[in-house]
Amino acid sequence: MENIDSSPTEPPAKSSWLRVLAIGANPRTTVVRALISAVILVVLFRFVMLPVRVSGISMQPTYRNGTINFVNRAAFWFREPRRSDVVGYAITGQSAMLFKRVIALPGETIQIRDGVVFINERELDEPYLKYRAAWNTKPIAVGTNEYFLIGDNRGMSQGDHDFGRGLREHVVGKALW
Amino acid sequence: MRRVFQIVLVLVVLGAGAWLWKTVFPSDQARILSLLKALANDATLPAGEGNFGRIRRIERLTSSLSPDVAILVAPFGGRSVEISGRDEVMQAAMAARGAATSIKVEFLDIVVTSIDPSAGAADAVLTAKIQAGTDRDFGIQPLKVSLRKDKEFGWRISRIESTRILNPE
Repeated sequence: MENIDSSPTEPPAKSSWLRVLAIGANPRTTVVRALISAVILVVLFRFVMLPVRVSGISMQPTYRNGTINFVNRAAFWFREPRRSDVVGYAITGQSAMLFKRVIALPGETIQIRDGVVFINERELDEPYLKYRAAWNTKPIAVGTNEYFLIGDNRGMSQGDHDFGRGLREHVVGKALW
Repeated sequence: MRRVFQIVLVLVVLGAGAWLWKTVFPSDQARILSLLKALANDATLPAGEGNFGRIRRIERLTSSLSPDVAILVAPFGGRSVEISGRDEVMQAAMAARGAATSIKVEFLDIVVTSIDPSAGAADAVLTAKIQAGTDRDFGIQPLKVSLRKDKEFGWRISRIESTRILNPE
C-alpha cells in the first residue's frame, strides 16, 4: 500500500544570508568548529603562548612599560636558550614573570666593567643597548644549570635593576617579538 | 540508557561527597592556602572604605599572625622593612592605611613547599603583587612565608621574608 502525501508541497526554506553569517549553513558543524577552536585557543594561550603585559622600565627601549607580548614556551622545547634571547623568567609560578635578556650561558664567567659586559674576558657586542651607565660587578661564574639575565635599560641605577644568575627551570620561554 | 544514567548519578554523588569531605575536613595544605589568600585580602585597602571596615581588616590581618611574628622585607630598589611582633604589625598597618588611599594586594602562585604536621611547621613561597591607588603599574615581590600550627588557633604565620629573584653574585 502506498502512502501518498496529498498536502501541497512547500519549497525548502532558504537560509537567509544573516542566518548563514551568524551560525553557518549547518549549525551542528558550526558548533563543532567553535568548540574545537575554543579548545585550541585555550591550549595555545594557556600552555604555549603565554600573554604578558610588560610592567616597568628595565627592558627599555626594547620593550616599553605597558607593552603586550607573548612568552613562547615552545621555543625551548627543542633547544636551549641562546645568548641575546629575551626570555620570560618565572618567579614562583607563571602568573608574574621577569622579562630579561640572556647574556651569559652555563659555565661562562661574566663581568661588567664601566657598563661594558665581558664574557670569559671578551667584550660582548650588544647592539640592542641604547643607554649604558658605568655599572661594575666582580667576575661572576654562571653555574651549569644557570643563565645570566639582565635588562636592556642599563642607563638606570645599577641598584634599581634586577639582574643576575637564574635557574634554567625558571626560564619559561622566549619573547615572541 | 538507564544504565548510563545510573553510572552518571553514582559519579555525581561520589564527586559531591569528595567535595563535601574536602570542604568539611580540609587538608593542612588547603588550610594554609586559604589563610594566605585571606591575608592578601585583608592587606588590601579598598578605596572609600570607612574607618570601621579598615579596623576590622587590620584585626583579621593580625589574627592570622603569631604573636612573635617577624617580617623582613627588602623590596627591590626600596627601603627594607623589619617588623617584629603582632602589635608592631598592627601599628605599621594603621600607619600605612592612614597614608594610602587604596592598596590592592594579591598573592600569586602560592606554593606550599613543605609541611611537617608532627612538628606543626610549614613553609610556602608566593609572589606578592602590590598596586597602589588607581595606578596601572604594580610592584612584584617574591616572599617566603613560614607557618606554625597552634593547637588552639590552627595555622598562623610566624615569619615573612622577601627573597631575591635573580642572584647578582
